[in-house]
Amino acid sequence: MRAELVLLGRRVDMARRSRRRVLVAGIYAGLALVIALTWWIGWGGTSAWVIWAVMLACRFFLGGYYRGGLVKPFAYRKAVNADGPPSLLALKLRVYQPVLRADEDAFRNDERELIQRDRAHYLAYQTIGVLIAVEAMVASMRSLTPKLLGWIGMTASQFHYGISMVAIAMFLTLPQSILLWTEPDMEEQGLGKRE
Amino acid sequence: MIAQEYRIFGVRIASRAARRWLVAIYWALMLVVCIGFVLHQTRHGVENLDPWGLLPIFVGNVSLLGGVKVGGAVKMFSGRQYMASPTPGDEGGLTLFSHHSIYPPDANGTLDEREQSERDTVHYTAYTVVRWLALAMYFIYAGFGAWYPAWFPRVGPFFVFLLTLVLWSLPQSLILWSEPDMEEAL
Repeated sequence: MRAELVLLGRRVDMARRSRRRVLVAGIYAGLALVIALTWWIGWGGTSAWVIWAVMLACRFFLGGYYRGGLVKPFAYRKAVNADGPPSLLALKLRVYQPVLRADEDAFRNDERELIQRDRAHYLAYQTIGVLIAVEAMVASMRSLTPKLLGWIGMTASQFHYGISMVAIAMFLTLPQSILLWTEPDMEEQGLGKRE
Repeated sequence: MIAQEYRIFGVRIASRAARRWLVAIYWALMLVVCIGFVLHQTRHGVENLDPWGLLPIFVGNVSLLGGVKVGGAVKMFSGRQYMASPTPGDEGGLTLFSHHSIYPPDANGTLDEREQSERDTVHYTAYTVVRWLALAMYFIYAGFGAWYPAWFPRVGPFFVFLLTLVLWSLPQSLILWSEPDMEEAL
C-alpha cells in the first residue's frame, strides 16, 4: 500500500489510518449520491454514470485494479509501460505517482501483502454473496406478500436496479476499501520494526 | 478444506476424481435448472423476476458443495461450527446425502492456517472471475437493450441466474476441483 496520494499535483499524506478511513467514507458517500441521483433521474439507461464514478474512484484513489490509487495493483505483474513516462492523462490531471515507474516495489506485492489481498477478497466476496441473498429474500417477500413491503413505494424493476448498482459499486471497490480501512498507521509500523 | 467424513449416497469423496465428478454433476444440474428458470421467466416477463428460481442454487450449495453453515463437502468458510452441528461422536449427520458426522470430533470443523490461506486465495481467484463476468454481462446486457430489445426477457433472467450461480458456487467448486487426493484414496 502506498503512503501518499497525489491530488491535483499536491502530495497528500495517507499514512494514518484515520485519513484513509475518511477517504473511504467520502468515496462511498459520493458513490451513494451518484446512485441516488441516477435512481431519481430514472432507473433505465443511467447506470453507466455509476460505472464511470466507480472506475474513477478506483483509478485515482483506491487502486487495486488500476495502477493509480493507494492500493498496489492486485495482479502480480509489472505494469506494461513501467519503464516509460507517466501517461499524458495522468500528467494533465497531475495524478501520477511520485515514485519511479520502474521501481518493482511499486507494482509487486510481497508475501504479506498477498495474504492481505486474498483475505480482503474473501471478506468482500462473503459480503456481496450475503447482499445478493438478502436481495433475493426481499424480492421473495415482495412476491409472496406485496403489502408487507408496500411502504417502499417502488416497482420490482426499480428495486432490482438499485440493489444491482449497489452490488456493482461494492464489487469494484470493497477489497481495496477493506485494505485501506484495516491497515494500521504506517508510522507506527515503522517504529515497531525499529524496536 | 474438504470435510473428510462427508459422503454422498454413502460414497466418500477422498479422491480428486470423485470430487470432480461431483462438481461436474452439480453444474450440469444447475444448467438444467437455469434452462427451466429462463423458460419460466420468459413467460412471466423480466419485470416479474421470480427469486424462488434461485432456491436450487442455495439447496445445491448446502447439500453438495458446502462452504456455508448447513453442510456440504467443503468445510465451512468461516471456520466456526454452526449452531446445529452434530456433537462429537454423533453419527447422525445433517446434510441431505451424508450418513456420518460432517466433521471429525477432533477437527471440530475449524480451518487451520493452511486451509485459511487456501480459502482466501480461492476467493481471490473467484472474485476476479466474477468481477470480469459481471462487467461483461453488464455491457452485453446494455448492448442487447440498444440493438436487440426483444431478447431482454430471455437474457435478463439468464444473467441473473448465471451470476448468482457463479457467485455462490465458484469458490467451493474450485476447491473441490483442485484439492489433491486425500491420503486414504492413494
